[in-house]
Amino acid sequence: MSLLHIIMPSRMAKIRVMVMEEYLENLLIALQDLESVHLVGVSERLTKWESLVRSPEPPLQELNRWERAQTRLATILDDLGLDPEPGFLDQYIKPLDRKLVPITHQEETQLLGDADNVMADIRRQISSVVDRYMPVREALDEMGKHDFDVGLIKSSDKVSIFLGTVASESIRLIQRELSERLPYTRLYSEGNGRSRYVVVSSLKVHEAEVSNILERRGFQRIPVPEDLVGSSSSAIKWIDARVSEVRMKNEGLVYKLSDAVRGVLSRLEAKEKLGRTSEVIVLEGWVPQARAQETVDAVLRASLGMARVLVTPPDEPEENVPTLLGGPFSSFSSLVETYDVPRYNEVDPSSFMAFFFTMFVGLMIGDMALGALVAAAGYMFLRGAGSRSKSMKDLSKVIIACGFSAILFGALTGSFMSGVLEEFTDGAFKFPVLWLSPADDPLGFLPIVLMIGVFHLGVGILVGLVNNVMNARYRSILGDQMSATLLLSGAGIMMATGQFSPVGWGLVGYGALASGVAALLLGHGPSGLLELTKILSNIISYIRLLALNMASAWMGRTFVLLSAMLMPIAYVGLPFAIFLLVFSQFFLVFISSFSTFAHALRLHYVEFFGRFFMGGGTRFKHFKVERKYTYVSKGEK
Amino acid sequence: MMDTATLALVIGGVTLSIGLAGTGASIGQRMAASASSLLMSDKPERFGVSLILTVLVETSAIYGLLVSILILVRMGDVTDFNQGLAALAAGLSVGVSGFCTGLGEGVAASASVGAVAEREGVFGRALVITVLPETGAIYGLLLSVLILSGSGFLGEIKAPMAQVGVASMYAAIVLCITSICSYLQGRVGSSAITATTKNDEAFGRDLIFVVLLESVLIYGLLVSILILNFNGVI
Repeated sequence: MSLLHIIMPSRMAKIRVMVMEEYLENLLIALQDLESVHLVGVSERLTKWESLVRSPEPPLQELNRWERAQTRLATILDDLGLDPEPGFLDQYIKPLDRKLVPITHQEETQLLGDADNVMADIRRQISSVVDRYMPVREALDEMGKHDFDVGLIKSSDKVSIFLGTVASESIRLIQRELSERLPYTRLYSEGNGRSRYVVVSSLKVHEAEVSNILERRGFQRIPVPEDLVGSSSSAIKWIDARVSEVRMKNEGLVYKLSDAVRGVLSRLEAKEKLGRTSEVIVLEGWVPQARAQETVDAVLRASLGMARVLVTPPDEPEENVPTLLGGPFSSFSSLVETYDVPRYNEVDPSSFMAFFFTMFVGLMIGDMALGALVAAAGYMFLRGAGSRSKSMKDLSKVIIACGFSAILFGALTGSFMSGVLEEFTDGAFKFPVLWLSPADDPLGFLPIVLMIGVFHLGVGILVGLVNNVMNARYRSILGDQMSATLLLSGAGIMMATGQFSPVGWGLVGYGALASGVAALLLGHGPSGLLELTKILSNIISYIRLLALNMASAWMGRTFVLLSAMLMPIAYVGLPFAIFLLVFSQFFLVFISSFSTFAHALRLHYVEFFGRFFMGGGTRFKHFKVERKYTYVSKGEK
Repeated sequence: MMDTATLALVIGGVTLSIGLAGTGASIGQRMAASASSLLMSDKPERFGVSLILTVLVETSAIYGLLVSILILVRMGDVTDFNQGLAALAAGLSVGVSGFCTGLGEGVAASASVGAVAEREGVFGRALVITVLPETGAIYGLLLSVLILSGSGFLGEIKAPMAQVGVASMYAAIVLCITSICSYLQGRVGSSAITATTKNDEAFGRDLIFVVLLESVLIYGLLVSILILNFNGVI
């Protein structure tokens, strides 16, 4: 992999395809499988060929049909509980328990052809079980602690039982009326909110009168199917078994159809971008150069050779070429894109971020135990949320990398659980400080973080230089990069040599500073002098690396100190001390992680990106099916 | 043995540190929590993200607590009036900056909760803008630790006692005055978050506007460090 592949967005090629209309569907399916193309609209740029090319008519009728199908399928998924919303914590740490279902394109085509019948059949099954039993199941579940015979709700010689819902403010009124007028009548209610589930029992002889009172107060009776018998708990189990039967029978079909419909809709949207004559379709898009040949082969295969494919280098203004951030550090690309999408001819800062962001977070957390906890949390996210979305997968990898970085810096600064071993062994066991301990020697660490800042900014200036050269903005080099380099060098020389008077190295330093100021004035005019304060505040801003490390370390030490104070208390001292220590680590991870991540991002977005980032690019949008439940079987692609 | 005046200064440092920083954090957290609880009635599924934004405001109180404990742990070693003055300066530094940060973060966090209510996708950006005012508290904490390092609480005393006390106090005063930037930063931050919710592309430029205010704070910190350095405290 060359340096260009690492520091630049993927190099693009324009792909133009002319294909006979009869092969269009096959072609689009092949391109969806390949996920290598970013489609663009061709119709508006073919106006001079108006007589030849008719603009595509949006297939509105088709679009409406499949959108309705998608809504129906969403309801079916919901009714059968096939795609339940995970709980708050589960969505992050619990791996997706549903396995993807294999499918072939042939199967998808058949399913789509028969989609209306398939959905109607599933709907019928749902009506016969879910619609029929679920209202009563929900009521029985809510009334859980009142385990009664469901059969009595329907008929009994001696007693009458009513099951239904009523507005919560009416319950007290019903209760009063029943107890005043009808002896041996009982009312049980459960649930929260405006409407509550209610069970009313009375003697058979009072049935009509009770029914009258309830109806007057807005009671909504829940019908109990004839075949539902036994206690409420056994009835619930019976209903669950029936629903489960329907669910198991249909889940594969529903999953396959859902994704197939998603694919159709994506193809219909794509068709709006095509140009066409009476028989020929014109398709245009962008493809990463590395995947161009593969895409051409797929197009020719899908059209049985009846297509003309042209692949050319970008021949349009830069802003029309989409940006695809790839490369080995693509996990960090989402952090870059949170700020903005780089332009096509701009350096992709993901690789620099991978190094500096990880280093900054590690340095600010700076503890082996905390680092291990962060890495473990990242691994849990990777298995849980990472199985649900790609962006969470990327973020989890970033968290893991930061965890390992924190372990490394913890080892260098000799910090493990904020010095717990040292405290509890009276200094007998202590991790050696291999480098410097920021918490113990803040003044020694201060110049180090400032130098890290200067280095970080220096890299930013270098990247800015590359951007300006690539975009032929030579005049900006003087005011942006040359001035900043001279100013940083001048300050660096004077700080490193300690020579602040205008002799020897001091003179060199002042010379560099004066040249920097001159470059600023030449490049930006008098307003360029603001850059002087900007550089100063940029460098000082890196002090936060030290301050956050110290804050985390001293917070940890305070907890260790409090634990040590608890220890001598008889019986409860030890367990309380251990609890406090464990709690403190989780507390520190929570507080430190968010704070350090946000501040490391800030150092990149404000200080680092401020040196080079142009932004305003168009994100590369893969033409593909967002498959949620299925995957295309091997060999099919 | 500590005299009454010295003891009053040391305890004053402890009190101001947690008292001011805690008050600022509480007021800020009230703003964020009110916005979050309003959000819960409509979108309970956003509980996690709004909790994070609300809890983050508390950080300045933690810094205040930290400095309080650092002073309390070593107060037995205090012998000189000027050390008491330094303890007061340390408490003042983290206390006032924490107070302003708490307010600023509260304003920004409540706007962030509103933004997340509208679009959950802006959480990352809202988080970054919410913590920007925290720079003030971080610098306050840093200055407190530097003062405590040079005044015998966390390190050795290198300068004459009178210089330790007076220089620490004035260094703290400089930072306290410039800390107002943190509150103002929060105000600008809340506008930036609203703008980002409407237009993703505005984020980068808005961030610059929010950070512009920070320059004054940085100059304040720089002058404070120079006061300590030129007087041999650090």
